[in-house]
Amino acid sequence: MHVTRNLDCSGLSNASAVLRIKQALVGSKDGEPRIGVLVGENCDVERITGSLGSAAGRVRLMSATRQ
Amino acid sequence: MTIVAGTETIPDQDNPAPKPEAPNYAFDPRDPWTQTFQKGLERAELQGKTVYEVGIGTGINAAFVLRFCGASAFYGSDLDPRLIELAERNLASLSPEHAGQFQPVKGAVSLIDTDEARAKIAKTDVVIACLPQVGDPNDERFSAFREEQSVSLPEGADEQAHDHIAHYYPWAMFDEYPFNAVGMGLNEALLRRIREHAPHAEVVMNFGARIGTGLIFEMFRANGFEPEKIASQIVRQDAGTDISFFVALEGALHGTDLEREFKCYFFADEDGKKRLSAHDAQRLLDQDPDVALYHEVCVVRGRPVAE
Repeated sequence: MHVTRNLDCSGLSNASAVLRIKQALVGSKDGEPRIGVLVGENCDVERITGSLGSAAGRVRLMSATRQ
Repeated sequence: MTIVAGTETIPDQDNPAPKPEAPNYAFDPRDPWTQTFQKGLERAELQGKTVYEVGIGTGINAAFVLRFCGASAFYGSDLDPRLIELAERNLASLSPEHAGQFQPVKGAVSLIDTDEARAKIAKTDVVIACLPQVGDPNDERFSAFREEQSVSLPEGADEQAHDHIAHYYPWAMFDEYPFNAVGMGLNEALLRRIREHAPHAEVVMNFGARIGTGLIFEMFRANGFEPEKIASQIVRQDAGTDISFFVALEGALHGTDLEREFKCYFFADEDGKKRLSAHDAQRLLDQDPDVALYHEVCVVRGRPVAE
């Protein structure tokens, strides 16, 4: 499964990031390419993944790291 | 002299205060949002500054800032080209001695997206704005999201009032901005443009804090501004503005681990003590469309942080 689309969630809290991801997934279906999601360094990737439920498999979360 | 109802000066009985021309396509200058915004503008230290208002509306703030805040020059523009002409007329009648300090950017200007607007922004000390923070109920992508949360659109919410663009923005069009997720895409787009074209300018922006001031502050910090709340007031929720946007946001987190971390801020009382979620507020509205609901309006000053 490859990634063809990216979603910038930098600066967002965990809850706002989940909202943005769910909005981006509206209308998408299982089996479509995953969306690459950049979340801020303060975000908890595990909590976001848990809150996405079954939709978590349709995204690939990437955490920004401080340079 | 009074500029709008709610300011503290008393009109002279022999020379009644001129009233602004306020056609139905303009945001009503008597609205408490304007009162709150002007309280913030009074505290924003605008003496001698060059000010640009994005979304000038009736021009009531131009008159206020030039007359009462001591700004040296005022630029302004609006998406609706009729409004910049209206602002010129209102400034000429409300504060004719300051009309020469007003430099309008004419035509339809989205944010600051024309060469003339960008040139004036580059010479601006303080950018002021009160932009919509609710996605257009007719936006197709937002409609799909709302339906996925099983949130229905209240009857009549899809009808467009004459001043529709003063209340709602085309949500999907601003989806590249992360804070669009909570209705702040248009505001975030402006902050980014200001950082690019006027990196030393301060901003003073008026918000309906229905998503909470914490999230608004996060948006400022994420875009290189240190926020400070300089005015606040609890106002009645506009009866004509649809709140299903906020209900859908809460609904999308319902049943998740993050549900408690995002609840909207509505109130059942004008003191702002009896808090309601958007879901609770919508339920009250469904029972009685005339029920009085309230939310905070606040003015946030953002100072650019050195990179």
